[in-house]
Amino acid sequence: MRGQRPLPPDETSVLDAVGGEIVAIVSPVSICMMCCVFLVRLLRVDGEDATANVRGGIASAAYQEESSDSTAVRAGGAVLNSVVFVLFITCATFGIFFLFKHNCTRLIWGYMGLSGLLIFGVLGAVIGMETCQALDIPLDMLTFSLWTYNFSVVGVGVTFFGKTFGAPLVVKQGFLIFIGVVVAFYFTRIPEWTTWTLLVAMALYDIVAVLAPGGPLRVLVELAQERDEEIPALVYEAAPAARGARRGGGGVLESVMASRAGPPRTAGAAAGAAGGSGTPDYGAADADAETKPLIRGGDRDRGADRDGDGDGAETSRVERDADDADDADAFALPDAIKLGLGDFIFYSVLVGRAAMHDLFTMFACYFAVIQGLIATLLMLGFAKKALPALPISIAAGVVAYVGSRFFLEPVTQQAAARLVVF
Amino acid sequence: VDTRGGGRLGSDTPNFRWCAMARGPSPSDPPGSEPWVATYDHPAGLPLSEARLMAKRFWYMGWFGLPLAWATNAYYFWPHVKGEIVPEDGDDARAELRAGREGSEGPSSNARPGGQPTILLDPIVKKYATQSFRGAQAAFFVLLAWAATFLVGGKELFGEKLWNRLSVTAQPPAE
Repeated sequence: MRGQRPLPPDETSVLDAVGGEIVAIVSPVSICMMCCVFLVRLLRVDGEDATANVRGGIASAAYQEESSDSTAVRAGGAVLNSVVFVLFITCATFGIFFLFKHNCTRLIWGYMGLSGLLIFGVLGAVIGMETCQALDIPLDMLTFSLWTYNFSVVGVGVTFFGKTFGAPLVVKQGFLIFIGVVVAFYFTRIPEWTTWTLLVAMALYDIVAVLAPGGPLRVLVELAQERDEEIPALVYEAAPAARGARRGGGGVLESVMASRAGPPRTAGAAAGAAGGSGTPDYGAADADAETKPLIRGGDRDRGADRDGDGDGAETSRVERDADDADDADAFALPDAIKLGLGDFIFYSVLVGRAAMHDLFTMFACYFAVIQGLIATLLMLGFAKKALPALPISIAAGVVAYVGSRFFLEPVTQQAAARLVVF
Repeated sequence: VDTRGGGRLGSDTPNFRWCAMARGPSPSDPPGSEPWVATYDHPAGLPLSEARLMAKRFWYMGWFGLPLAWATNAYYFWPHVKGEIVPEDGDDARAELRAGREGSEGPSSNARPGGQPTILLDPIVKKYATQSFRGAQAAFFVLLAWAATFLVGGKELFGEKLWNRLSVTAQPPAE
């Protein structure tokens, strides 16, 4: 992170070496989750009512959940919805892959820019208005419209066309987090059963897509590596940690690891989620570029950052203390970790949906997801290639939700009611 | 373009050197010899011609009712507006730079001869960045004045009907 003082070499341990990078990723994920929870608690009618007027868009295409349905019907419908959604995502990803293969990258970016404009300008504006109304902020329409217009245009320019319109890294990160919060908030509209089965389905899809030889994300990443081009995707880049500390711990970076991930997740899913409410119908096949795999950064800069010494990080520079030689071989995180925006979104959806039940479950899920994320980061240090970021966190989050909602909460509620303090 | 003697941050004082030339690199310059200018993400920088183009672009974009574009421009090229390159943490930046220079002898895909590019400040970028900064300040104050008027004036100043049309809280719920 900026401004860190490098530690003397004898003080570095694995934790010292990776602590900065982990914090650099966990912080924005936490911010995104907390903002989503805040919006959910403020704007959603909590409890069962939420299911009543829910329009989940593409994620509810196959089955609309009703409060009167039996468990079996709901479960079946939820699975159906998830299958449809995953198929949709797969097709969209392959679509992006083919466009990328045939060098229609500008089309991809243009389309992404358009959906970005809709996210900022329409979905974001609706959230903004609802927030103002809920908090009774006496803002006027002129200021609000001007601010929305500015925020949308500059946001799209900076996020999607970063080479043409540069901005400080923290500004780019802020806009990406905003996109994550908005999309995650719209995904919380999805009925409850569908949400949970969808999360599990996406985690499974993630594993297959990133690790299986024919998986869409893997082939996309490999193609981009081959061509030495940027993947058309929205990726959150954490600020590089202080390099001085890392050198002591051993920074082994292999240039072949220059992997960027980019499974275009659809804003069409998000747009579709909003589509039912009477806002303009965006059509089904918006292809956003919100990525899934957790990827090793420290790779070639293609314009997103222009580190003067960023190029150095991607080379086979091996600097290690004699003591740490063995450690360095076994474990090394890249200087700049990149996490796909899709991960942000699905984490936030999980935590937001837990928050719709109760804050108790929300905290349980939050800690589970963060632990999963850190576990994934540590695995990244060992695996040294692109890894799916969803599976461990989603698994932990789902277990935490079920455990806290059905087992822990009754116990603590009863104990608290009887003034037995935990 | 004279790149020698440009803001070397390895020295003790955060000195800098303004780009001597008013024009960018000519086509006859070997690629990669272009000087780099500072940005807010110091020590990350931009090649000179790109920086100038971007500063200009943001400046013209701001005239379409986008003071935020001006603000971003000023923010991004803040070292130019401020007039000096100050590393966030002197030790850190110097350690990085020194390490960078040491590493440049090793395998590096850095195309620039001599490894670490020198970071400079550019008068043209400074011009656009400061103009953007002033424009953003002016727009912000105007907006603030208007918002404050609306906030304080309320219904008494605008009348019931106009206030209801203007206020966000009086709009029907978005869904």
